[in-house]
Amino acid sequence: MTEQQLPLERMLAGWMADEATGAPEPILAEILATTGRIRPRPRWWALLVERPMRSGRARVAVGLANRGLVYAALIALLLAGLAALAIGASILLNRAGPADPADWSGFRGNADHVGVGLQGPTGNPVLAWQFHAHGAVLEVAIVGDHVFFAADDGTLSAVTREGGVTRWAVAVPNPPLVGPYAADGRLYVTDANGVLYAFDQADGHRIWSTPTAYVVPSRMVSADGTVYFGTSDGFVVAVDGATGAERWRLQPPGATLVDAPAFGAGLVYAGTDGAGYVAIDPATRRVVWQGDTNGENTGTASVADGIAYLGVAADAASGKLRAFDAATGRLLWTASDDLLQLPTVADGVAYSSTVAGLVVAIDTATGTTKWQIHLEGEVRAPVVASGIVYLFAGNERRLYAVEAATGNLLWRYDAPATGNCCIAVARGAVFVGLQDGSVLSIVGDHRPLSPEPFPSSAPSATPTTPPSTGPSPTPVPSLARVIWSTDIRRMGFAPVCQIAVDPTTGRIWAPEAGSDEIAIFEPDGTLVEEWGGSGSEPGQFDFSRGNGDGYGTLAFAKDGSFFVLDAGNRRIQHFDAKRTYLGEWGSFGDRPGQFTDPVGIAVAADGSVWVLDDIRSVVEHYGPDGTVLGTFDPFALQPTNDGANSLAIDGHGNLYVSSIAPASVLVFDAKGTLLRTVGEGQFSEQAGNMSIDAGGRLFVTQGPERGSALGVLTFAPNGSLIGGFGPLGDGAGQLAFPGGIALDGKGGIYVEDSDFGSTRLIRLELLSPAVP
Amino acid sequence: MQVELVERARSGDHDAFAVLAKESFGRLYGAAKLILRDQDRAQDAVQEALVLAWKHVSAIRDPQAWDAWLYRLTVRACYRLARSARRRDVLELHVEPDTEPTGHDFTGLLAERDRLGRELGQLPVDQRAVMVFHFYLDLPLTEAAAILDIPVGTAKSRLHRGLETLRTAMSDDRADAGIRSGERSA
Repeated sequence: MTEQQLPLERMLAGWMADEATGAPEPILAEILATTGRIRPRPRWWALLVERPMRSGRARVAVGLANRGLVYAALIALLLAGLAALAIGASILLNRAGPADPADWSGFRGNADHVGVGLQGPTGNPVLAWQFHAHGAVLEVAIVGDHVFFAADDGTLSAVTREGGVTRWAVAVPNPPLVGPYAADGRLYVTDANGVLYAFDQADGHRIWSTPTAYVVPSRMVSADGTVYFGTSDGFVVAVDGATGAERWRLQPPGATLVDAPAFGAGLVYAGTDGAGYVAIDPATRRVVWQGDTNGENTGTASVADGIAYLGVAADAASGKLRAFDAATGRLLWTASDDLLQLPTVADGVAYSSTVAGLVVAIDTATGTTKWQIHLEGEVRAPVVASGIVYLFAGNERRLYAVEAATGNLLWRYDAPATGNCCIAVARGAVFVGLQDGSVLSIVGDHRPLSPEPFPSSAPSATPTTPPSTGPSPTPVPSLARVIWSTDIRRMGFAPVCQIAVDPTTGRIWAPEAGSDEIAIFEPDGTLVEEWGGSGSEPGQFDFSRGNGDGYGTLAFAKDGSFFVLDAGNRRIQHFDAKRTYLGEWGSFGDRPGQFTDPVGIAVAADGSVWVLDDIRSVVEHYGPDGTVLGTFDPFALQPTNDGANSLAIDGHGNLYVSSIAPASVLVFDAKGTLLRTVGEGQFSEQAGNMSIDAGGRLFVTQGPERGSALGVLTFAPNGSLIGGFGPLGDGAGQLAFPGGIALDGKGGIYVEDSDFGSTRLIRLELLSPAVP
Repeated sequence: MQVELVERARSGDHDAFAVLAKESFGRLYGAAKLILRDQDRAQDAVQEALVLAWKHVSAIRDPQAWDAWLYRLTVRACYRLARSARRRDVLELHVEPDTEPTGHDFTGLLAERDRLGRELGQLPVDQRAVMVFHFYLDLPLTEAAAILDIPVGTAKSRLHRGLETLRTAMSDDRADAGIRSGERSA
């Protein structure tokens, strides 16, 4: 009987059974990897969204029995909430609550332009992160956990305040932009055509743009739901912040240009060409008073504690800083020094500066000078926070912190480039936008500061090449630039730990010698978790060498399984990609399979494991289960073994041992034959940890005693030095004690940089000829 | 055992979920492949179903309903993918080569099975789903109806209509094949 004669049903069942075979197992692995990265939704959520399913045993086996009723109730609640929201929104959208004093809305802080931050860095300056925009950055706004800025390529960006990680970026037409100014959940900028835009702080979507192109609008402020700015044809303009509709415009009598206004005590203040200093009541849309400025080229207005200030413009050739009674316009005083700009006012003292480098502190009641200091020109408007005056000297590329009460120097910090605008101080950090597109977040190390008298003359730094910044002092090309930097000081890191990149997730795994944990970071620098802990049980570690130095390292196999060099426990622990403990081997001793001072580990393409033991003076080869496959002495051809630091392996299975003295890298084939010696005479310190790219380029760290040399040296496959990066220091692009180093295989490299004042995980983008 | 695994998965134990997924993967893939008649989209459907199962695992109130729920998620994913690729389905089905019977029993059997696959692919996806649940997953129609969230009567009629369509198509093909065979031998 053939199948053609079977009943159709039976034939169908047989056909289906045959046809349905061949389920691809790799897909299942992919699915489980995906689900392993996500968490199940909360029960209430899952019950709500999952369609109910009935079964014989339970009335409802999945989901909610009365989901329809629950939805109806939720919709009713939502409608009620929306109704309440609509009522509130009309009030809230157009009546801005006061800005959080911890934030920084934009140019000169908030709408009064008083330039006072609530909390700056505590202690000595430490670079928390450096962001690279594709164009010069001027003012920076800080709201909650986010930092906003515009680059002159027209990109408006939001990055996280803690890590400098991009949250969103939008392209605004017709750069360069003025702004942003942050208020009421929106960011305001104007473009080169004079169009004012509002963007949503949450996701960067454009909320509105004005139909009117204004004539060269000034910087804007926002108060009570209204955006105010001046124009170069002599108007003060008020625009509805919620809709972009123009509410009113007013030309003060005689005004031909209106500069950036300030808002305080219900009035708008603005310096003008042709009409002096004006105060306008936005409620009546009338000029309340006009102050005489002697026809001078004035700049941005500010108002604080009942006094309205007006300094000179940055490009003014002459002029005075003046203080007026904010309510009446009566002139209170005129500063004795010429060319003082917009002041910062705090605790009865106005701090002002000139483009020539003079910084003065003036008693606001009398106009008398309390102290003054001189910097190297182009000093931008100061910022004050918690008794400290922050100044950025553009020519020097240097940020200063000065004791507000005395003018004594607290610290200075060298920036990688000059800045043409202003600094922002908020939530424990100073933020600076620079001409090279950098945005710096500088925090404090919480150590006590010792004020010292400011040098009476200009500081010793030369204007263009500060001592510890600028081009590398070594005669090799710089091969990387910083993409982001994460402050990891509060974690348990110590120098000399090696890091590794999980090939299946791209996450960075960094052993913490201080806590015997492994910190796991997302590729964008976000900390995922810390895993492990002290001990000798499976999954516990002792990241310390016999001499007490903190030391830890691990190496991944291609499938994401990994081996941890548990140096203090003298063992290797093996885990699968889900961190399930698979086994371990090793004990203290000097026989094969034992460890005395294991310092380096590498996994070959075939899954076998190599371990460098410094004191046993061996590189030993193991199967994944710890079976000893072979051993060789990497120092057999050298007079002595003066120590080794690390082990790495390349795509051909060649092994790299970083030697302490002479500082070099010894390259062996898998049989232990010395192939070449790399970098002899070119290291200035011990050769440290290593990473090798697919093309055979070798990246090697060296420590803090390297003087003017770079922290990472890069060698071509033939061993010739092709460049490096990271001059000594803890500033942007600098490296203090580069410990861990790992390539990401995508043109980037991670470096863990540790010293006692600054510990950072840094991602750098490799530049030619270091790019794989 | 499965109940315990589901309870563990429900409390967020991914290892337990992985065991459950491994157990079900072959059947889910087979069902999706039969419903969609496309390996790539079958993979997509199973992936969608299992990821959703993990996300919403806490919605399970009766752990014994695990398999049924996975079938439901899979068939829902199949419906969605079938809708989004209906146009492509038609094109693919029309370019299938026509295998002519030769009169040899074995080859004829292969040709018959090939025709069956093609004719099944011509059925509406909801009829195919009922047939797959009933003939491949071996579920009673009452259970298939509960999983598909349709009345038992609807499941029965879909099955009936599907079988009738297949029966007719197969007998027509047999007749056509006979004519062609006759012409060739003449």
